[in-house]
Order: sequence, then structure tokens, then C-alpha cells
Amino acid sequence: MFMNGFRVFLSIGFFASICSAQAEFGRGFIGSEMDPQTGKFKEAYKDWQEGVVFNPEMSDYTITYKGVSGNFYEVILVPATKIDPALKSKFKWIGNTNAVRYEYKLKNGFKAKQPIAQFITYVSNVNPGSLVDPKDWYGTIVPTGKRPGLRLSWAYVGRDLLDDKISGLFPGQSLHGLALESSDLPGIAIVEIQGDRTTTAWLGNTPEINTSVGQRVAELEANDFIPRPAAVPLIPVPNPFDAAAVLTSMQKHVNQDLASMKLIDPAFASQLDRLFQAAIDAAKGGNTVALKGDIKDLRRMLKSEHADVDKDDEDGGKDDDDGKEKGKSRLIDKLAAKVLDFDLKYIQKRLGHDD
Amino acid sequence: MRKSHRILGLARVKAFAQTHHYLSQFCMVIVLGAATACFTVQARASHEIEALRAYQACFPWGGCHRPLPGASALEVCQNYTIGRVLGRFNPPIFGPDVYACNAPYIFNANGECHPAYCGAYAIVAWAPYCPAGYDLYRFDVATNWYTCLRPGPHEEQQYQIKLSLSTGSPESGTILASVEPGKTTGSMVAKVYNKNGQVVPNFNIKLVVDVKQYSGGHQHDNDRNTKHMGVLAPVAPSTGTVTQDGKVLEGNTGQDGLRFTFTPPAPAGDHQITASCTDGKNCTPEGPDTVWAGVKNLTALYPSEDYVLIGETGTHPNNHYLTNEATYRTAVLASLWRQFLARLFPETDFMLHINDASLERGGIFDTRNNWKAPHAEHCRGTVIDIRANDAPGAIPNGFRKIFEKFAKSVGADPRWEIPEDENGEPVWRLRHYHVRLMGQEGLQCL
Repeated sequence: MFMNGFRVFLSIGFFASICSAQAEFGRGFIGSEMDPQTGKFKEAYKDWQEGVVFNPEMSDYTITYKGVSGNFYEVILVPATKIDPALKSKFKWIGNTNAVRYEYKLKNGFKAKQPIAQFITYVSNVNPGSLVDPKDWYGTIVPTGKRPGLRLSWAYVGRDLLDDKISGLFPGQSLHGLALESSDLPGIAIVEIQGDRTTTAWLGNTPEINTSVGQRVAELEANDFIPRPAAVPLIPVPNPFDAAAVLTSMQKHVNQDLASMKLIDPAFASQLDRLFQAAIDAAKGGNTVALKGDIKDLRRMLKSEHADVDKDDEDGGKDDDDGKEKGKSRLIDKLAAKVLDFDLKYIQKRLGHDD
Repeated sequence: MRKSHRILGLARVKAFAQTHHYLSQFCMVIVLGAATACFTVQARASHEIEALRAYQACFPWGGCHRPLPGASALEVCQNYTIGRVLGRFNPPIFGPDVYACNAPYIFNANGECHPAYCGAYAIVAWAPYCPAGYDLYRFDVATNWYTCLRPGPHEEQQYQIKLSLSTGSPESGTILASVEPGKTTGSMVAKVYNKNGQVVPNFNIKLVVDVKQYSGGHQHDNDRNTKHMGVLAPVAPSTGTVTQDGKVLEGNTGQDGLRFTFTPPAPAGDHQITASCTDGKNCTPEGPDTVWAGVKNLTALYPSEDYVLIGETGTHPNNHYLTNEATYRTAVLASLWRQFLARLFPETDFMLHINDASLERGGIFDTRNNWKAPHAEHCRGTVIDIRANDAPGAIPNGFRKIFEKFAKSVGADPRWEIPEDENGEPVWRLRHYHVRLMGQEGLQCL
């Protein structure tokens, strides 16, 4: 149910588009045909039609645009979405600390036509030095200046790339060992997964954003990834501990992030929201008994949708559920439910609750 | 006292009926060529008489042969004298502190020249037909002697013309308004004030805009002030006439001033709006008159061990301006790149060679000095070019994919470009990375 939303989004992003402008006779150059000896591109005089055309055979786009000089250019844009990624995320406490370890397993399905080359998402915090890179992959954390604060990326940087080869996690391969630690609690974020592809050589200049071709190219590139949800650090834990602040972050995460990702049914989200608000009010009022009761109710609601929500799960991000729940229409994605339950359980622990 | 204007005598003081002050009549013999004469002068108060005397050799109608101290009256009046108009005259009626330039001829209602002033002077006009810019002035009611006067420098200095935003004062003490290149300012207004700071309505005024030389980061000015100076336009309820392709706007201030806008061209720069009064009235422009056209908050990319700045030219010497966020991403990208490759190739120092970013105020980056934009998107401080051809310091061909991944890691969008030459042919040896540091943010150029 939930992943279908992403697929629809994806298909809209890559819907073939053909410009309706009239063809125009003129001089132009073909980007895909360059003489390596002279560095000259193939020159042609013909009718050119500016636009973006999807080639279903190759699943590529032919971009035709007019340069500043008035000449036309034709280049090929290969999308980075010819991949079949499966992403699983796990999160668990590290010993008796207040830090959470996050691990990811990435697999490229056999149907893929490109190797996976990059994994990008946004997180709230990562403990310094905790990023773990598998062989030939390189992780970076870069502040964004915007919420949630950090851009997390792992990229394939194997030496075979130095020969300009297409490389990365090839179809059928799995990648283990992408990991990090954080003192922030998990939430759900979209991971943007991209395949490796031939770089487009833009002749003249990139079609500018204020042209119709430039806008279409920008739309394609803005969605040039396969989205997958994953558990990542997103819920800050203040020091000293403040249950109301944590619950407020969770409430916002449910109402905004999970709702926009369509990982939760709106009616179910409203029920959770009321309980979150009651818990927040109780926390702010110092009514620990009521707070504990509200958190119990929240966890009970989550468990009613996913019976094993509080169990450690090696396949935390797996789409399918256990056999008992098959066929049942769920009101919240399982990974989302597990993340929320994990966070609530942490608050209970800090409150001294025996669960 | 100038020798040629000696006072040779002084006669009696005579009272005019309308004044309650003493009046004086005195005889002055003034050497004006061969002419010598006695006149009656009207005075309304002793301090005015003193003021006249201070200027020496004053004519009975208040004209003096010496300019006011510190004033450029001779330049303003040229061959005429500067005079102070006093008392009751008909017409026109001047205020008590009005100064004027006196035409060197005096005539009666029949056009006959006054015997004392004909001399070497010719009568060029007579009442009521004064030359353009002069007012008829009957200085002796009893004998109907006339002269022509034009407004003098003191009258000019009584008025000031000020520009401001329609919402109130100018944007700052030095800048009238600021606007991004190619966009239109908010409504501005030109108002005329008297010496007491009160708005004087219904003045015909003229606004002329010109771009300041070498402003906006462009050390070239070819055709800039004739073809790329921006456009003035009136804003309702004001109306006006726009000429010279928008360079000149003329209109009336009405009750609340002449409202107008300015649209600068796509290149950044300073545009000075010179305001003046027309119809022979000169107003002194006061206050900020410059429209600052550019993208704000761009700063120069600072030197670093992680990159090398290249691409400065004589016409665009400061070519590495970016927003703070773009600067940060550039620094992080260069640092990641250098550190990563140092692990693989410790014997080589891979420093990104950063070519053009934006000019100090953004706007069109016309690398060909022609006020056009072949350098796409380098207008808002969000894009850099990185050398990636065969030149020293370029990203080697085999390293491009890794570079692209690092660029994406910092949120940038690297685009491999083969720029065209002046004939529009892509030139392989000029290939480089055009890096949109903020993704698709801040790319819109005019």
C-alpha cells in the first residue's frame, strides 16, 4: 500500500514529455557523436524540435535545446533509476548507553540494469566518527543549514571508476555494513538511491532553468532516484531529558513526515495525535502517572496494528509482515510503527517505567 | 569696492506710501561704460538697505554688480547682474528674499530705452515680451520703467528636490533603493521642497538615469550608458513622458510628488538618478540618488589550501562571489575531494581549480564583455565552474565519476559542460564542471 505511493510519484517524475513547439531548421550538434581524435561533435543542418523525448527502448531521454548562439544541441540523459533497490534498516541500543546504532542493508535486484552507486538521506545527528564505510564505499556527513540538519551520503568510490567504468552494487549483489551511531532516536526518512550511469555532456550550456526544456530537465533530475524509506536518526533527545520535547518531535514527525510519505492512515494519525497531545500536556504538567498511561495507550495502538512491533527484528525495514497479519489492511507501515514504539519505549525507560 | 562701480553720491531717503518703514532715496552714480545716473531706491527696512549696500553699487531695483559672496552668481547670471527684488512690483510679485539676474536694459512701456542704461546696450525685448526664462518687472510704478528679470541663484537654492521610496525615506543614507538586476524597484517618488522643508506642489521635473562607470563588478563600459542603463517609468497616479529608451522621465510633481519606478538591466551596477526642475526653475538635488542593482549577500570565496581560484580577467577581476551556503559547500566539496584522493594517491595534491562563480553583485556574467549572458546561471552566487579538461589542476578524465559523487554528497549538482565558442560550436578543450552548488536553488537569471 505505502510503497505504491512512491512508485506513482516516481512514474510521474519520469513521465515522457514531448515539447509541442514547432520544429526549426538550423545548425546543430549531436552530443553523443564526438570524434575522439579531434574533439569535434557531429554537426547537422536539419529541422530541430526543442524538447525532452523519452526513448522507451533505451529508457533514456533525448534532450534538444537551443544554445545562446542560436545553434541546437542534442544530448542523451540517462536516468539513474534503472536499479531495483531493496533497503533494510535496523536500529538498536548500544549496550547501556543512550546511543542508537543504525545499520542498513542494500540490495540491487536482478531486474536492475544499473549498479547502485549512491545512497543519500537527511538525518538530525550522527555521533562523530561513527560512520562505517563498507569496502569501496565512502560515507560523508555534511551540515545542510536546514532541518533536519545533516546530509548523509554513501557513495561507491571503487578504483574501477577511475577508468570511467559504470560500477557500483551490481544487480543481484547485496551490501552490508553501512552503519552509524547517534544519540538521536529513530524516525523514518526517504533514502534517495541512485544508479551509476554515463554522464551527460551538455553542449554549449545546460538548458537554463527559465526555459521550458530547462524546467523539464530540472524536473527529471529532481526525481532522478529511487526512494526507499528507512529508519534514521530524526528525533533529538535533549539533555537534560525532556519527555515533552521528545514527544512533541514525535508528534510532528507523525503528522508531517509519516503523513506526507503516506506511511500512516490519516484517521489513525489523528488518533495518535490526540494521545500524543495528552501525553505532552501530562509531561508539561508534571503528571507522570497520566504520561505513563498515555504512552502505554500509544504503544497499545501500534501493537494493535503490528503484533510484533516491540520485537527485535533483523529485517526491520522489510515490507512484508509475518504470516499471521497477511491480508490485514494496516493503518501504519510496520517500520514506522516499530520506530515509534522504539521511541516510546525509550521515554518509558527514562521515566522509570517497568514494562 | 570695485573701481568700475564706485558710488559717487548719496541723496535723500524717500518714503513710499505702502511701507511703514523709512524709505530712502539716494543718488548713485555708477560707471557703466559711459553712463551715469541717479536713481530712487525703495527699501522696506534698514537691514535690507544694509544688505544691498553690502553688495556695493547696487541698482535702484536691487541689482548689484558683484556676485554674492561664495556664490557662482556671475556664472549663473553670465553677462547679467544679480539683483535682489524688493518691495511692491506689478507684475510679477516676488517675495522679499528673491534674487534675480537683471537684464542689462531698461525700457518703458513704449519700448524706449532708459537714458541711463542705453549706452552700449541694445534693447532685445520690451514689455511685456521678455526673453524666454525672464519675467517682466516694473521697477518704478510712477514712471513705468521696466526691466526683465530671470530667477537668480538665491531663488534656485530655495528649492530642493529629493528622491525616496514611496513608503517613506530612501533605503539608506547612500542608497535610494536596491533591486535585483532586471527586476523593477518598488515605487519611488520625487518631491520638491522649499527652504522650510515643506513640499511644494506642481513642479515640472525631469529625472535622468545613468549607470555609474565600472560598477557592479564590470571593469568595462562599452555602450553601457547608452544601451544598458535601465528604464524609468511613471507610476499611477503620476503621469509623465519617458524618452531616450527610458533614460529620461519628465512629469509634474502634483500634490504628492512624481511617482516612478526603475528597472535596471540584467548586469548588476549602480544607477544614478539625477533630478532637476524644469520651466526655468532650478532645484538642488538632495539625498541619495542611486539605485543599487545586484544580488545581495554575496561574499568572496576565501583562499584555501583545498582549492585554487582561477579565471580572473581585466574586465571581471572579482569572479568568485557566492552565497554563504554555496561558499560552505564549495569548501566542503574541495576538502572531501582532496582528502579522499590523498589516501589513494598520496604523492599528488588534488586541489580543485575553481573558475568563475559570480561577480560581486551577481547579475549577468558576460565573459565576452558584451552585456549578454553566455555564462549561464552564474548570476546568483550559487554556481561554480571547476576545471576538468587537460589544463593543469583539472579533474582528470578518469576521476569524473568520483567527483560527481562527492558533489552530490554535499548537495550539489555537477553538470559536465562543453561550452561553445563565439560561432556556437562546442569546444572540447574548454570542458568543465558547471556545479550547481545549491541544486536547483538560485538559478534563475534574466
